[in-house]
Parts: sequence; structure tokens; C-alpha cells
Amino acid sequence: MQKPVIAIFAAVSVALSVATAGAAPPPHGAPAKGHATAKHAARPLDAAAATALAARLKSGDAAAIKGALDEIRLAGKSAASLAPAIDVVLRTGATPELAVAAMATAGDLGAPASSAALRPWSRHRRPELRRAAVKALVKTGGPDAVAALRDALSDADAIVRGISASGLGSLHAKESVDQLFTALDHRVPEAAAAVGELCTGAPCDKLLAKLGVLAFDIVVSGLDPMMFRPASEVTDDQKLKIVEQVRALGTADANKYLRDVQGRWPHASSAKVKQAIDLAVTATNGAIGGAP
Amino acid sequence: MRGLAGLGWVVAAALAASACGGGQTRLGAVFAPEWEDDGGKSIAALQAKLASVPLAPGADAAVGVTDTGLVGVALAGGTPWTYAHSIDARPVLAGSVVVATGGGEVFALDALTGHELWKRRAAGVLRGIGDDGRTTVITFGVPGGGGSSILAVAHDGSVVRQLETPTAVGVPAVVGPYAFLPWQGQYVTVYDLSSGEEVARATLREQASRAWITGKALFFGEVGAFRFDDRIRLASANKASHVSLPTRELPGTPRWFVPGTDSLPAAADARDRIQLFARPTATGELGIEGGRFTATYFQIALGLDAKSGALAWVHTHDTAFLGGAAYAGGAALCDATGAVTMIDAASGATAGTVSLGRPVKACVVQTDAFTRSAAGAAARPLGEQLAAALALRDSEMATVQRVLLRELAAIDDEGVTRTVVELASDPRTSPLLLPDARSALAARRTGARSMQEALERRYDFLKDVLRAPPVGPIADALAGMGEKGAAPLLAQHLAEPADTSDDVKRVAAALGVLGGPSELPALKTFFALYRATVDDEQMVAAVGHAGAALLKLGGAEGRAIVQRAADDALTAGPVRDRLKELLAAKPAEAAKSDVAKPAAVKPAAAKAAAPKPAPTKAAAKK
Repeated sequence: MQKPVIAIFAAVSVALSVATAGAAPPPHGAPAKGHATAKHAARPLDAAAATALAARLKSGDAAAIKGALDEIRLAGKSAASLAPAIDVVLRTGATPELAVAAMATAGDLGAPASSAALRPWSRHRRPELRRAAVKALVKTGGPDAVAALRDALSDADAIVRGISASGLGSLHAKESVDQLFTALDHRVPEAAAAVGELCTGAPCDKLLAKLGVLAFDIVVSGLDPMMFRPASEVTDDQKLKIVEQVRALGTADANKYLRDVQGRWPHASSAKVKQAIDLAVTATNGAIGGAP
Repeated sequence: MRGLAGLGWVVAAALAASACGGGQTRLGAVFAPEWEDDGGKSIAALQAKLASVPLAPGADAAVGVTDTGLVGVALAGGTPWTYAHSIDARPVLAGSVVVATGGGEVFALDALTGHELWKRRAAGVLRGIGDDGRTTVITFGVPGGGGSSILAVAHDGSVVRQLETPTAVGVPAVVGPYAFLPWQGQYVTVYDLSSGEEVARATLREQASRAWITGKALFFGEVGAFRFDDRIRLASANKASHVSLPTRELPGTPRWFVPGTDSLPAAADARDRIQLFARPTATGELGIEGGRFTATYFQIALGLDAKSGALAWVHTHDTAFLGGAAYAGGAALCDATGAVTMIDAASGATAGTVSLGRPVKACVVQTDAFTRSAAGAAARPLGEQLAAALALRDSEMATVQRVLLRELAAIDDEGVTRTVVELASDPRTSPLLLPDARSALAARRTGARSMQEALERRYDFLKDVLRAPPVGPIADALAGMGEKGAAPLLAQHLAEPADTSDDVKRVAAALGVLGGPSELPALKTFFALYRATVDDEQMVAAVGHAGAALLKLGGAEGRAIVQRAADDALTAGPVRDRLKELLAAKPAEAAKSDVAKPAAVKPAAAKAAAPKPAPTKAAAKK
């Protein structure tokens, strides 16, 4: 599936989370300030280094633990063997700063087994710790992560809800589609994109029916992934329906979106849908604010 | 009857005498401060003279003030009457008339029909009236001073007598040729309308500014009621027949009567919404009719025992009561919609209604021979009546609801617990009432099932449950009841981020009492998550309680967990201190000093006894 290039659609999930919460969290998966970033070139660990880091994680010394976590993140997946040691830190408890760092590191390592250690933190009283937990759970995945994220859709914190909704989409948690619709109806805009990634059949039509009911950007953030999913999951007929209904809006936003899809449409994809997109773009050209 | 006929003749003669003169103003020794107490001789003689005089019953009616004048209706029912006139003070009902003022005029109407009896220039600001079915005596406050103008007018409009006095005279009563005029808060002068002389005086030993007739008996009073009977001669010795209402906690400190020297505004104010209604007995030992009186607080009416003040029933109405009167067997209360509701004194049930036919700005009710009972109507249990009153969500009602909640909490019943749980859970409950509801819940020792049902609820954004249940008070109560079956539900609340830290603290304490091996995993997780992340004193205490529970329930492993946390530099300082205390104490002492607290003491005491750790870094910042 290609990613949409128009920022408004691509970033709607995170942007809406931020707007709702009134604070700007780092994008999903990005490390918190002050922590090592996993995007740096990985420094593979050898067995001795791993043993030493494991010992530092058990040291009880805040600085030593923090340093170890930073090094593990820099080591990337080569430090996967240390995931259980990080789980121990999470299970036995740590200061807020260390807990955030440990969760981010566990997320980077992405071991599904870590989800069990992360899950209780998604119920912590401090929202910043819950946010860190759900971010990490999106990366570690597995049944514990899905269960925790579904619970977190009901969290009091809008950012936690938003991350969780997006995460359920990322984790392909198809069983959570109904809950995501409920979240969407409760102004969790990130749920639209997640539904768009997960739905098949009637739920896809249900999301399309939100067009004109909810804000265009929000609904399109869900329709867009549907457009680019394989025909085996979202049929060409459903994609044609999306194109027709967006076209029927006749607005500049509709035109802008259709043109964006037109530009991204894979050559190997349905020619029939491509033709419909082309016609829709032509039909909506001239909409106020749209292409001439 | 013979005596009444004779008196009527005297009044008729007086009226005839005054017809050409238009009334006399003869003060003489009336209201003279040098009056010598005659030991009750004159008042006793008069009482004996009037004892056989049957007093005419007053009209059972309600009268309201509208934008255009007055509206009235007989309590027995029928078509309301209207009378168009400007109104500048509260109309007053007595005998068979209603008197009102407006536009510089005073006028009298037949209270049952609205028929105008007479109209004349007003002599001041209307205070009160007395009426015996033939003659009406009216007291006015003189503008700009404390004096009074007293006007006696026959029903045909002829002026019988008019007096001006610097004395503040309260609400009068009339019996034949005699006007009973309360003044200076302690005297009642009996003034002979025909002769213009003060023929007797009673000295009362309690604030009295009103005279009135009800149930064919004459009363004086304000704070309480003195009856004009054969003991009135002992009034100056404070041995007259007297009754007062019991003192008890009631919101707004309602009064039985407003001072008779006050003039009331045309439109009802807060005083009218908070009143007491009681009817003194006309015969036998003086008491309160039916042994009950009624208190109103806006839209709630309370039935109270006339001796003890104990609450008997609660009647919740749609809108605020503005006025009313007690009758034998109940009270007739009027409201701004123009409805007059008869409330049964025995049960608080509605015994009937009549309507003034339109909304009113104020209303007055007179009941004399009227009676109406709701006998046969199924009385709701007091707990249900209280629950209905507590379900009102108007913040104005919070004051009375606090009183009612205390009454409710005294009832040992599962249904009551359910009501208190709902009150403490409902986001619409007034913030003024919520702490009381939580305290009442914590003190409950019945209704564990309702509490456990409440514990099953959680904050849930997607289900629009936006307030956590009152977990802390429930934890206290369940611990007090020793409800071990509730432990799993309580343990789940250790992981509820929307519960307050105070609630979590109390849950952790309760688990020390109720918890078993199955609660150990939740306790361990909670202990691990918070030992180094506490951000307020409540959470420090909560972690301490969890530590104590681990020591009690967790065996060697539990002790090792607590020991490691106590030794770990990552553990928050105040938590470490608390854990070290627990580890140092012998097991029994630890249990006594920590775990047993919620069960052994009441919430307020528990709060006071909670450990006071040094503030955490986060708390210090706050």
C-alpha cells in the first residue's frame, strides 16, 4: 500500500491527537527527548556487552540504568536478547523517567513478549506514563498489546485514545473494528484511519457513510487506506463507491483529495477505478478552491 | 349563639354611631405604657364573657397575586375568581375576606367569590388584618416611622374606627366589638371598637406580634402560640396555654410566623419558600393538630413530629412552594404555577389539589374548617421519599438534601445503600452534597451487594461513564463489614487510573483487611508501578497499605518484595520510610498500625490517622 503524499491526510491521525490534547507529543514511535534515537546507525552488541548491559539494568542505579537503556536503543534489534531484562525493570518498577525510557526501549526492540510487562503501565495514573506504554505496545504487538490498546480506547486522556486507535489499525486488530467505530463517534478521529485499515465489507460501507457527517479530513483519513488496500480486502466496487461519493461532494477538498489519489494510483491497480478517479477529478475541477 | 347575636348588636350600634362621623380616633389610655398589670383580671373577665361566643369559621381559600391583580379559589374547588387592581403588598386573608392594597387604595374582597366589599384610601403599608365575618380590622405601617394606623371597617364599607398610634401594632384579630391588637412584642390590647376604650390587656412572656382565629379559637403569638382560654389570665406569670414547635436542624431556619409588624412584598421572596406550617389545637390541652407540622424548603415539604421534630415524611413537589396553611389532617401549600396541593399530615401523600388557574407571583392560603385526607392512599416508605428528594439535581436543593441525607443514612436498609451509592456516583450530584454522600456511604454497614455492583462500574470514555464510582467509601464500608467476597473487585480498582488517589488509598487499605492470595498479583503490580512514581501523599499512603498487605498475605516472597523496595534507591523517599516502618514492626503491630485501619475507624478518623510522609518532590512542587 502506498502512503498518501498530501500531509493533511497523512498526518491527520497525529495532528488530531495533538489538537485534541492541546499538547504536542512526539510522533508515534519517535523517542522522547533526551533518549537515544533508534534511527541512528545501529551499534550491534556482542554477548559480553549484552551481559554488561543486563547487569547495569539490575544495578538499582538510575544513571546506570538510563545509560544502559540508551545503549540498547542504539544497538537496535541486535539487543533483542535484552528485552526480558527490560521487562524486569518494568515489572519491578522504576522512576517515571526510567519507566518512560524502558518502555520506549522495549518498543524499539519490539518483542511481543514485552507487551505483558508494558500492559500494566497503560493503566498507570500518570497520563505521560500511559502514553509511553501505549506507544510501546503498538510496536511490541501481540494479544496483550491488542487487549491493552482496546482498553485504552476508553482512557480519559485523548492522546492515549488516539495512539491506541491508530495502533489497533497498525496491529491489524480486525476484532476491534466495532470499538473503533464507537471511538470515532466519540471524537477519536484516529479511529477513522484504523477502521480504513481493518474493515471489510459492511464496516467499510459504514465508514463511507460518515462522509458528510463527520469532518471530511477525518473520514478521508479512513477512506484513503481503503483505496489502496488489495482488491481481495476492499473490492473495486467499494473503491468506486468511495470515488463516487467523494466526487458527489463537489468541494475543493474533494477535488484536492481525488487529485492526490490520482497521482498515487499504482499502475498495476484497477484500470476501472483509475478511470473513475480521472473522471471524478475532471468533474470536480473548478470547485471553489480546487483546480481550475 | 345568643352571645354572638348580642355582640353583633353592639357592633351594629357602633357602626350606626360612626356612620355620620366616618369613624372616631380615640386613643385615650390605649397602648399606654403606664398600664398597671391587674393580675389578669380584666383579660380573664373578657375571656369568660367571650367563652360562649361561637366564632364564625374563616373562608377556606387561596389567593394569588398576578400581574394584573388577584386571583382566588375556594379550597373545596370551583372556578377561580379574578380581581383586577394594582397590588403593592402581600394580600392578607382573615375571616371571610381578603384585603390588599395598591395604587394608594385598600380594598376588601369576599375571599370565596372575589366580590368587592369595599374600597378606600390606604392608610399606610398593609401589615395584617383580623375579620369576624362582619367587621375587618386592618393594621398599616406608617411610612417613615414605626407607628401604626388601625382601621376598622364593616363589610358594608362603613368605617367603624380609625386609630393612629406611634406604637408598632402587629396582626389583629376581631371578635364581635373587640379588636385584639398585639404590640411591642409582648402585649395584646383588647380594644372595644364601639367605645374606643382599651378594656383588657394580656402580657405575654414570649415574642408575640400576631393574633388570629383558627378552629374557632383565638391565638396570639409569633415564635409560639398562646391560646385565648381560661389560662390567659396567667399569661403575665408565663402560665398561659402555650405551644411552640420543636427546635431541630432545618435548612434556612424557617419560622412558623414572620413578625406581625412586617409588611410583605407583593411578590414572594426567599422567606416564603422556607416556612413552617402548624395548626394549634382549639380545645383540650394546647398542642399541634395531629401531632405533625410541615416545613417547606423550596420544592420539598417535610412532615415533622410536633414534639420531637423527628422526620415523618418527605414530599417532593414539581416547583417551589410559596405559601400555605395547616389544616386538621394536613397542609394546603400553594406554588408559583397557581396550584394548591393538599398534603396529608400522616403520610405526606397528595390528598387533593385545586388551581388558581394561572401562575402567581405570591400566594396566601387560609384554612379553618377545611379538611382533606389521603387515607387509603398507599404511603411510600420514608427511604423512598427521601430518595426522591435526593434525586433532585437543582443545586439550590443541596442544603436541604444534606439534612435529608443524614436522615436517610440513619435507615439500616439495602435500598438506602443503593440510593447513597447512586448519589455518590452521579456526576450531577451537587459538589456541596457529594462529600456528605461519600461519608454516609463509608459508614454504611448494609448493602454490600449494591456496593459490589458499583465497583463493577468504571470510568469508560466510550460508554460515556465519565465519573468513577465512589470506590474509596465503598472500600471503607466493605472492610467495615468484612466482605471478603468483594476483594477481587476492589483489587481491580488498584489499576483504575480514573479513580482518585484518595479512593485508591482506601482500596489498598481495605485489601489489607479483605484480601487473600488471589489479590496478591494485583497488589504486587500496584506496588511495583507506584513505589517509585507516587506523586502525592495519598498515593504514598496507598503504596504503604499495599506493602502492608504484601507482608500480611505474601509470605516470604511478599516480605522480600517489600524489603527490596525499601532498600532500592529508586523507591520514592516517603515510600521507603513507610516501608521501613512496616518492616521494623512486628507482624501484629504492622497489621494494627496499618491494615486494620479502614475497618476499625470511621473515614474521618482514618484520614487523621493516615501516615504523614514528607512531601514527595512532585508534591513539594505543587
